[in-house]
Amino acid sequence: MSIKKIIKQKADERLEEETPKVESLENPSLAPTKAFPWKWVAIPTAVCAIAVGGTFAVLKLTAKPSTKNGLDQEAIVLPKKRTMTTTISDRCAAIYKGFAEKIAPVALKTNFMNQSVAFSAVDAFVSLSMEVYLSADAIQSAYCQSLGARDMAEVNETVKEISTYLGVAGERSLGEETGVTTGLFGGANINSLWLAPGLRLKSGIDPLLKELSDSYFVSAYHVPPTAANLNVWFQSVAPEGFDELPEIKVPDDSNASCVSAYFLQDHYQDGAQVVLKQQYDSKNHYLDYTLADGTTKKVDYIKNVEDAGIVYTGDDFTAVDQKIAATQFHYCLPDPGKTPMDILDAALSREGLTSKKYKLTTEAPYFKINSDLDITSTVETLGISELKSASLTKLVDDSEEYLDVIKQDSLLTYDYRGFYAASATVVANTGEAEPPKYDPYTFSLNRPYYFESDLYGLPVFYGIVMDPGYPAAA
Amino acid sequence: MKIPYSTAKAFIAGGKDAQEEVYRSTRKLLYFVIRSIVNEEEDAKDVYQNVFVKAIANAATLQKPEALQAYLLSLAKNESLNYLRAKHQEDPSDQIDSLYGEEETRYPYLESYYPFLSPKENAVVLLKIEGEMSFRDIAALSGLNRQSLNNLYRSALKKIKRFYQEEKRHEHQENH
Repeated sequence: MSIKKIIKQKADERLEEETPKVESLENPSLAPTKAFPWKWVAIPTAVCAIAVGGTFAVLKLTAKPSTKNGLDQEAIVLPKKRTMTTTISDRCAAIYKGFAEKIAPVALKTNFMNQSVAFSAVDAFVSLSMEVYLSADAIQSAYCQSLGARDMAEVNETVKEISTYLGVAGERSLGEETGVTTGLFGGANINSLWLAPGLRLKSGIDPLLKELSDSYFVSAYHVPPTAANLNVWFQSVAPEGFDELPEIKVPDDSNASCVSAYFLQDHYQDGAQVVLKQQYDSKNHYLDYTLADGTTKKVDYIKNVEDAGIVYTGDDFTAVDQKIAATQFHYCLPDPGKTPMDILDAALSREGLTSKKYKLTTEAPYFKINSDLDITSTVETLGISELKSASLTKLVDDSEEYLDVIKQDSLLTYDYRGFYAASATVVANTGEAEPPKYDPYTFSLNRPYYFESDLYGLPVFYGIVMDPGYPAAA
Repeated sequence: MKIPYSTAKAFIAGGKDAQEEVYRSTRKLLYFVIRSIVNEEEDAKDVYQNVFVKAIANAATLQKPEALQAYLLSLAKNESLNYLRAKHQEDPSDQIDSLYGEEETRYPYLESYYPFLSPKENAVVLLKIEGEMSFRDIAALSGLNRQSLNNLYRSALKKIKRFYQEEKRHEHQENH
């Protein structure tokens, strides 16, 4: 007999003898027929990280005080006051970019259903990092390894830098401090942690809570993270001008959620907006757009002419960059017969591109993407699937939490206002030397395409437009 | 201890047959877990009764049938630690982080299985072989990492093997 069989047999015999009998279960007729009024018992339930994508509107970007939702009175942690930064360290930029470039293709590929789809990197990074920070050392270690970070402290520092670099942008736009719009661009990264009232926090976690406040700028609530509660919070923290928000769609049975919201507005200058709005209202400024099924529809679009624009050519696609005020779109148009999914990996890598200058005309359709992503599978990509077995172990006492689902709901719109909202400052220049002449090239996004949007050199949104879906002028 | 998915689902739905099946397939392992924490036999029996009563009472709130086994083990552990806390007015949070982790702590019940093994080694061997648990599940229960568990398990098996070989050799010598 093998040693294992001997061990099992002996243990079995001993435990059979020792283990007491539960009469009601030995005799099922005595079993309880209804639930007992027991006090709260630890139950393994879901942990959701909801990452909320960006949207934009025209009005000035002033963050609403979050006390409007009445939650801050019940908060167990409140965020540290942020100071806008205009620089980011190379290390933190590389860690964030590593995350974005690793996760974006997974998020897009696993959620693409022949409809337009978009992924927002900032809120995904912050919410996932928060989840990992509150979980076991082994999970943190795998996450850091996957991102090339030395340790969790470096990830936390990256969250802090990203949140203040891409998320607040005070002097460049509004500033939580002043509430005054100062530029064309505004961004806000607002985060929260939700714990059902029954969940008890571990003792001795003051340093952890302090880090949540200092680096994640978190408001933590002992309030159930139901979809209704999260949407109320989302509405309450949205900066002014965000008159349309995506609906957060999460299961109502979660009992702990790490939530990160990211808002972004980037306006065309006032003068440009007037012209673009006139084109939109004229109902005759259309681009013929060919859908994936071969049918054609007329869509509103923005035409931009540059005397010297660069056209990039890769395997099966061409690409151009288009800047609004602060953000820059990197449009990738598949060659005829190819789809955005065919070129996604090559477009993301940006490797092996050749470039040439042209007198460039870009025709970019308005779009409106309402995206509802399930990005749970990204935990495998990041080597942190252990979260599905045990999560938040550093935070929650007496409970066995595990990750259930990671959802991201976002609404991206591009139209005559731009991709963001802000006031405009027009600087008129004159007296420049005549620029060199180039051959003409028209880059018309007249069929399904892929895009990325970068902000200050870092990626923030990735998307595939199948049908632009922007409503026609009334 | 393996709970079939269909049984777990029926247990959550309140099925009496499933309750009985779950009870029969888990009772020994759950008692072992409780007894390894609560050393006094009578105390352990009280906790043991409570675990089943609570598991059934709260079954409907469970969301994932596949997590039933982990839930029951977690319940057994937490009920045991709560019992100790209530009885001794102690904060067992350290033990939650790593069961059987304190070298200076005595675990007479565990040591009674194989006295030449450490409490950790005894626990890992019993959970792995008698409980048919994966290292992943044992890690979740005990707070020990999987690599440590693997090392403990291999080391314990070697010692037990040597013990039985010695025992066999003695028997052989006595018979001749």
